[in-house]
Amino acid sequence: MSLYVNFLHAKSISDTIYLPEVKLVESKIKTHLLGSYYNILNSNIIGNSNIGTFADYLSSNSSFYIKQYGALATPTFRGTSSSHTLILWNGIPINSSANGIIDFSSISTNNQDEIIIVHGGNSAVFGSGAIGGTIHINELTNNNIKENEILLTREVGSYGVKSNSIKLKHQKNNFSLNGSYKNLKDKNNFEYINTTQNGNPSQINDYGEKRNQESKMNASYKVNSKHKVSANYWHSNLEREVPQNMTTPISDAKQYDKNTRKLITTEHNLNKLKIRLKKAFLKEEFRYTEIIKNIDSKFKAETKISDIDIKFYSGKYLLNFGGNLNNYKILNNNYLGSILKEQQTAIFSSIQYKSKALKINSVIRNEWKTNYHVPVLPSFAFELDLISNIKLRGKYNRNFRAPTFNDRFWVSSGSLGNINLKSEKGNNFELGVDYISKKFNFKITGYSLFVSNWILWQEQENGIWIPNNIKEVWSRGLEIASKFTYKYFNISSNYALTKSTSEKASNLLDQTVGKQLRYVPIHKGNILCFFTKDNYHFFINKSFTGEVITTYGTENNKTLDSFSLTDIGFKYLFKNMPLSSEIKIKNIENITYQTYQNYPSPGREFLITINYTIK
Amino acid sequence: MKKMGIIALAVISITSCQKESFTPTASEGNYENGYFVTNEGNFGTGNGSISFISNEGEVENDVFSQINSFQLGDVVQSMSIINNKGYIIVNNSSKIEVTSIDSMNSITTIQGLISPRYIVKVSDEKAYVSDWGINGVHVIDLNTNTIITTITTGTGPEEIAISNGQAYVCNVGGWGLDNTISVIDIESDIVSSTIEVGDKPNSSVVDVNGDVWVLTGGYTEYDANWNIVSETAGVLAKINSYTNTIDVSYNFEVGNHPEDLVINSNGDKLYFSDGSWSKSVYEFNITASSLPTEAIINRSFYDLAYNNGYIFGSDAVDYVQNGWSYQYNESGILIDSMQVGIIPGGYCFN
Repeated sequence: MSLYVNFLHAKSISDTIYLPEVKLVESKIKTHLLGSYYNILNSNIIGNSNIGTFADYLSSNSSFYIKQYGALATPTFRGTSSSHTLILWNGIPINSSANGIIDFSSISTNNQDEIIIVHGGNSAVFGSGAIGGTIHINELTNNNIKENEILLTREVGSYGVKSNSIKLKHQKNNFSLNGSYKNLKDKNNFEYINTTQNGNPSQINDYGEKRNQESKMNASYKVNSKHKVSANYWHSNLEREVPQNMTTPISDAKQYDKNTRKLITTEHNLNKLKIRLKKAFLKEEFRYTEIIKNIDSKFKAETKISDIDIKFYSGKYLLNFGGNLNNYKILNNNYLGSILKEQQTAIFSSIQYKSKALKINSVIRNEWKTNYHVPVLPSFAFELDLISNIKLRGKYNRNFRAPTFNDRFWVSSGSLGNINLKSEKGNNFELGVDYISKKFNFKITGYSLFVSNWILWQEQENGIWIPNNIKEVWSRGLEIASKFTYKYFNISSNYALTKSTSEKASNLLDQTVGKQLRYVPIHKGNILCFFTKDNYHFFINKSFTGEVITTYGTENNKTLDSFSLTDIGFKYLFKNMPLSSEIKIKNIENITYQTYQNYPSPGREFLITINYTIK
Repeated sequence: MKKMGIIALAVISITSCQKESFTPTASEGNYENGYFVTNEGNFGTGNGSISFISNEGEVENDVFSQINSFQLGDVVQSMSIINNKGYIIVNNSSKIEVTSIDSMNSITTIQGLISPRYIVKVSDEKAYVSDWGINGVHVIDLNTNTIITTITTGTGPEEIAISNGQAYVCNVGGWGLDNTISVIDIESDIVSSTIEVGDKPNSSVVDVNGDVWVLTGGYTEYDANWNIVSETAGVLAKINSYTNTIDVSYNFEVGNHPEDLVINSNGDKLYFSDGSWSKSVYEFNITASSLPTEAIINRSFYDLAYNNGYIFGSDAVDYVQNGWSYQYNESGILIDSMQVGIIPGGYCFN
C-alpha cells in the first residue's frame, strides 16, 4: 500500500518538476523542447478515471479551444485550425491520414504515462501538421524498480456513464511489462434547454451513446546498459451515435473508429553516440453512416513508419540526425478507384549547443512526398539565463501541413478534392521569459504565427465544393502561466490571449479581413488549486472561456457567450485497505454553455471512481 | 449544404405564393410590402434565417428569430406563402415552420418530415411537400397543417410545378441519380405517369399556355484519375400537360450544368443560369427555336428569381459570412444590392 501512495506522490512531483528520464536515448521531444513553452498534463486531476478525454481536460486546463459538436471534439490551438495540432504517440504522428485531424473526444487522458503539450509548431522535427502545436503521448517503462501491481478501477457517473478497467504492471530486473484494458459505456443522456424550439422546452440528449474498448500493452527489455528494446501496442474501438444540432430532432448517424497502433523501438547507447530505431504500424478503420440519407462513408488506412534518430554528443555540442520513411495506404469509398499508395521521406539534422547560460538548437528538415512539394523547414531556438532564476527563451521556425488524402482525392456528389493543392505554410516566432524558483514559477510567452496557403473548402461557381489554398491567417498572442507552492497547496494558473485574424480576402465580397476568426476566443484561462495532505487530496479548478464569433454580421457579429466553469475533485486513499476512491463534480454551478453553435453541453456531472490495488 | 435546386419563382408566383383575398389593415403587417430571402445557414449549425426586403429596399435580417423566441433551424431550404401564411421549409431540421405573414409570428410547426425541400399549394385544402428522405411528397392538409398521406415519386424529389390539375415533380436524384418527372393527379394523389427528361431535373415552371418547362443539369462521372468517364448534357424540355409527353427539348453543351429555371410574369420568357465553370444568366422566349447564346447577366448566382419585372440573384460569398442579393431589370442592368444572411438560397415573393 505504501508503495502505491509513493507511486502517486512520485507521479505528482514529477508533474511539477521535470520528467523522469528512463530511456537510454532521450526522446525526440525532450531533445527539442529547447526554447518552447510547454505543459505537462497534471495526472492528479485525472486520477484513475477512464472517462475523461483530451477534450475534457484541455477545455478546462489549457489554452486550447475545443469545439464539441455531435460526437466530435476538435481543437483550436493558438488560433489555428483543427488539423494544425499534431498528436504523437512515442514520437509517432497519429493524426488521421485521411483528414489530418484527431478527434479529441476519442483519446482518454488516463492510461497514458506522460502527456506533454508543446505550444508552437515544430515541423522541422515532427513534420506535417505541427503548426499550432504538438501533443506528445509517451509510454514510460521503468527498468529499475521491482514492482508487481494489479489495479482494478470501476466508475459510475451522471448521464449513464460506466467504466471498468484493469491495469497490470510487472517489473523485474531488466524486464518491464504493463498492460491495460478498459471498457466504457456512456449514454450521455443529459438534459438541456432547447433554445431552438418553440417555447424553449427542456429536452434529453437521447441519441449520443458512446461505447469504447481500449487495450494497451507496453513491454521493454534492457539487454544491458547499452541496448534496450521495447514494444508498444494500443488498440481502441469506439462506437458512437452522432446527435445533430438541437434544431434537428432526428438523427440516425453513427460513427465507428477502430485504431490499432504498434511500435517497436530499439535504443543503443554507445557512449557519445546514441541511436534509436523505430518501426511503427498504424491502422485506422473509420465508418460513418446515415441510413436515411443513404450515406455510408468509410475508409481503411495503413501507415508504416520507419524512423531513425542518431545523436552524437561532443562536449557542449549535440549533433542530432534523423530520418523517416513513411508508407501510406488508404482505401476510401469516397475516393475513386482502388487503394491509394504514397510514400514520404524526410531527413533532419540539428546542432545543439549547451553552455551553462546559453542553449541553442538549430534544426533543418527536408521532406519529399509523392505528388507535392514540401518547403525546406528551418528551426532555431535558444535559452539564455539572464540572471539567476530568470531565463529568456525564443524560437523561430517554419512549419507546414501537407494536404490530406481527403483534400486531394475526395469525390462525392457535390464535392471534389483538388490534386493541385499546395502545402500550408506557417511561420512562427516566439519569445518568452521564465522565472523559476522552488516555490514560484512564472512564464510568459508572446508569439506571432502567420499561416499562408491555408486550405479552405468552398463552393465554386459551378456548385461543386473544392478545396483551395485560399486563406492567410495571422495569429498572435500572449500565454501566461504561474505556479505557486506553499505547504500543502499548489496553485497554478494559465491564461492565453489570442488574436487570430484573416489577412486575405477570399473574394471581392469578403468582409472578414482583419476580423477575429470564428470559434477562436480572445481570452481563455484557468486557475487550479490543489491541496494534498497525507492520504487525501482535493482540487478546485475554475476555467474561463471567452466569447467566440459564430457568424460575421453586417453590424454585429453573432457570438457564443463566454462561460466560466468550476470543477472539483476529491481523492482519498484508505489507510488499511488497498483501496482509493475519487469523487469529481464537473460544472458544479450547472452552467449552460455551448462551444459550437446550437450544440448543447451537459450540466452538472458527478463521477465516482473506486480503485482496488493488488500487489 | 450543396444546392440541389432552387425555388422556381414562377411556380410560386402562379400558385403557392399567390395572395388570396387578403386585405391588409393598418394595425397589422410589417411583412406584406416586400419579399423574403431564405438563408440556408451552414449545414449542421442551425443558423438558417429569413431576410425581409421591403419595397423601399430596406433589409431586415433574422426576422423569424427576432419575432419568435426561438431559432428557425438548420438549412432553411425554401419558403412559400399559402393562404396568407408563410411555410418555411427547414431541411435539416426536418420541419416546416408556419407563420402568419403579416407579423411572422409562429403559428405551428409541421413535423414528421425527413429532408423536406419545397412546398406548393395544389388546392384550397392541400399542399405537396417534396422530401428526399422518403423519395416522395407529403400531402399536407392546409386547414390543420398536418400530413395526411404520402406519395412515392422518383429519387430526390425537388421542385413541383402545377398545371392542368397535375403536379409535376422534378426528381433531381437527391443522394443518388434520377432523370424523371413524376406526374401526380392532384384530385386522387396518385402518380399518373413518369416522364424521362434527362439526368438531374432541377427546376420547372409553367408557361402562359399551361405547358411545363423543365431544366435538367446533366450528369458527370469521373474515374480514379479525374478523367471524365461519361457525361450527359443538360436539357431544357417542354412537357405538354394534356398528353404528358415532351413536345420539344433543347440540349445544352455537354459539361455545362444549367440550373434555376424561372419565368416572367407574363409566362412567356424563361430565365436560367448556364455555364460549365462560371455561369451566366440567359433569357429564352418560349417561342424561340434554339437556346440563347448571349447572356443577359454575366455573373454566377447561388439562386436566381424573377418577380414583377425584375431578376434577382444571390451570392453566398464564402459560405461563412453573410451573402448578398442583387436586383436587376429585365435587360440585365443592376438596380440594387443588399446584404442578407448566410448562404441566401431562395426567394419568396408576396
